[in-house]
Amino acid sequence: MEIRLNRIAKSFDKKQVIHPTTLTILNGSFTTLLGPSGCGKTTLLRMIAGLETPDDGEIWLDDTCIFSKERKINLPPEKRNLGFVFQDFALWPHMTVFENVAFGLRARKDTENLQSRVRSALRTVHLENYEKRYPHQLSGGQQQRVAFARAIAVQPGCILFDEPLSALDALLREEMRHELRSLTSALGITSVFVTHDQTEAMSMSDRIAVLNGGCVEQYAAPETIYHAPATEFVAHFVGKSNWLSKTEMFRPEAAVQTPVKGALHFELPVQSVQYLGSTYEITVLYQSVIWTLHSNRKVKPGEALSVYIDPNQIITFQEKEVVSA
Amino acid sequence: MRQIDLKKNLPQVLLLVLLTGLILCPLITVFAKAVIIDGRLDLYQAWQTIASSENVQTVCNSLLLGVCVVLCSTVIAVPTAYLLARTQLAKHSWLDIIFMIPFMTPPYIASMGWILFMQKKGLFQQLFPATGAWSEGFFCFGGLVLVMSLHVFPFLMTMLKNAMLNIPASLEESGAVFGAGFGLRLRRIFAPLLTGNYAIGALLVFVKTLSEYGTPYTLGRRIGFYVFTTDIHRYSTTAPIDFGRSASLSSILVCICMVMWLMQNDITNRNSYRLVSGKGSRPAQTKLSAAGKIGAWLWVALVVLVAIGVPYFSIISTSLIKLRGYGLAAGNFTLDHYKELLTTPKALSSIWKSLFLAVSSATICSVIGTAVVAAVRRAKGFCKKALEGISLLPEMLPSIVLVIGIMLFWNAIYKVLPLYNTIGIMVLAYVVLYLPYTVQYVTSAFTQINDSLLQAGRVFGGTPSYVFRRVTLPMISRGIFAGWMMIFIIAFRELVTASLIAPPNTLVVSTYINREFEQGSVSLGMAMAVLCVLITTTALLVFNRVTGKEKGA
Repeated sequence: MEIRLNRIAKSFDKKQVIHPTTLTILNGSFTTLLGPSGCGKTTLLRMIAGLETPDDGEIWLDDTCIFSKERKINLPPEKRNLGFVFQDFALWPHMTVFENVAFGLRARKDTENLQSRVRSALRTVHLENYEKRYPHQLSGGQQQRVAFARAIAVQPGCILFDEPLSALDALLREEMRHELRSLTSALGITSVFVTHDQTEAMSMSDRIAVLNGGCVEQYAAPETIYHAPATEFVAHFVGKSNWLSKTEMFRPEAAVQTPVKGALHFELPVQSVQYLGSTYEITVLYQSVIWTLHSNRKVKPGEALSVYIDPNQIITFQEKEVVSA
Repeated sequence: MRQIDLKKNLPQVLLLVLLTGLILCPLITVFAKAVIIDGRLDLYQAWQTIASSENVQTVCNSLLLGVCVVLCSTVIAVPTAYLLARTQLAKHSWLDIIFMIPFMTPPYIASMGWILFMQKKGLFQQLFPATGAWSEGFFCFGGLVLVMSLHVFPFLMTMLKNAMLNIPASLEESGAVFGAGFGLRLRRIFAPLLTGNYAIGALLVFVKTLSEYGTPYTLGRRIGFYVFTTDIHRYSTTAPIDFGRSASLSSILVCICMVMWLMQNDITNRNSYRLVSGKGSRPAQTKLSAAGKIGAWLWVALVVLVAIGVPYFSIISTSLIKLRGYGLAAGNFTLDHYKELLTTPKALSSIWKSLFLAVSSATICSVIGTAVVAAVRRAKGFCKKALEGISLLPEMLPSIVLVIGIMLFWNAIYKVLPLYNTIGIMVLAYVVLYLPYTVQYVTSAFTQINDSLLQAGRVFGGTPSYVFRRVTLPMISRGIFAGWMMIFIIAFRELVTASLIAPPNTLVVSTYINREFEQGSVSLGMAMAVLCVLITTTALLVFNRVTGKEKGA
């Protein structure tokens, strides 16, 4: 299912949380909306689901217009045929796992082969023996799986994920990351995933839309976002960024400690060293900013370190107009 | 070793003895009185008393009243709770305070208001002479149910409202996303999540109705509808006095209440879903259309008019009327009744007595209650359970039963401790009745204290008593004060205890109001009622200010 947002805007109490945004989410893709908290990513997702009403613009699911300010179309959430995985899972505590998963089918009065369809959804998430349990009898990861089974049981054109992994602990989060990704690609479902965790976004997505202050700063593949950030915000927010000046930046990988021809050369004092297992993470002081570098050699704080930077990997931004205060 | 143990456990044991004497002994006396007839155990006779047709009638009346009040208050509470929890009305938090007024109004005062309003030549007939005798139809079972429901519905409403607020929006949003329309969501998600809370609320309303004395006494007696409390009161105060009968009725009432509490407990255990999921849970909102909004406000206005408007209008206007024969007429208003209140010794002494009782019982409760909570936290096993259970018992039982028990028990030991028939017995009875308030407020204050705070106090060199003075006490002081204030408010207007065990010629505010209402100057009584409400409301505002600040901290 292709999702098209056309000049969607939204304000809460006169504060504009989404500036007019146009975005197309490709059919079958795994697309992530990434940004710091309060950037409007969840609002955007909830507007697609119909849980918030935009102030302006249009939303299309394939050839169906589900929202249009101009044409006064606003399909309620129950008519949009989407799947949604909530941040707190939102499993109904008074229903068994089976009933939770069957809810969407029953609500649509689509009860043919209900049993086998619910079971197959549960089998997909490896919970076939849990159908009689209640949500509170499940672990966090299992609840997450039920929430996912509930979303796929209705065979929606698209599943929307609202920070679904944030309620899980670190280990489980990583495990579920792989599982969700492989399940959605196996099922070929278009997925829209909201997160503030860049690692999550980078590892799972086909495309990432980086949001800031209600605007999409960049919409591209993860590799592009990392190696060719479109704005300073994206450079800051995704990955480690080392700043040569206000407008010039490089990633840690662009720097090495051995001389390379044509490289920029600096001798800089080491600030701190952390051993990460595969490498040492070193911070050095350049003028008044701190750079993060990788090294496979242990150094001591205070020591001077030779740093060679490949000029081709330096990214330059246009100087922003200085806004007078 | 044993000596150290004894020293350590001594305070607990002493408290246990004290609570047993104050609470358990009177209760046991009631049961004993019900089954020991003429000095010997006579279960047959006891059963005869219980099964007498008069008694059965009383029991049936009470149960019928309880069920009807539950139904009627449900009808009022459910829509109001929904409007206050889920719609645009939710942002008007002053409505919450407005809806507490009926609950905080002493029931006997509200009933008097209704009687003055609806009776023959009453205020309603004066306002709408064209309606003839229509308003007198109020004096029936239905009227009693209505007045009692108007008193208890805020309780049920608050419970339901909080339960509704506790349902995270995502539970309903997910219903919507997965294809359920509004009606289906209401039926399949919203309502089932509330049933447990509703059942608990309904049971508590039922118990409250059964234990209520004020309204059945003022209004029920007038229409000849007798229930547990009024019969117990009648058998204990008017000739021929029959304590055996009132004891046996009390015993049945206690049993019914206990069964209800057990059921309540059971439902709570079975039905409490862990709904609060912390992050990202916020209550859902239904956006009312303009017409819906008008309807909602009309409903709220109607409830406020009936629950607060009518009784307060009656009380206040009656207190200002010069000559009741002329009724509501220009020039027939005066403040003389208030002046009279503040100048006649009888009225003044009743105000002072009530103030004395409220202050002394609140203070004694605060001391004993805090000691009990502190001991409960330290104690283990039987001692802990016994202390906790006994100290909370008075709240679960109808106060009239405890008061009867106190009368019987202290009468029996009059030769040892001549407390009966003095003001001291009143203080004692108030303390017994209101001890649970302190215990509950202080317990909840204690739960906010993390153990590590106290451990930190010890680690940084404080002795246990130093830590108690500098850490624990300041942290629970708000809880103690909240309990003190609550007790002050309720004790100031307490009716049932005062009317049963006040020494001869001792009037307090509530009995003064009743006396004047029944056989003196109604206007004077109502002036006292207004004064009583004013004093307790002021106390309540102080209370809200204090507990409100606590939440902010």
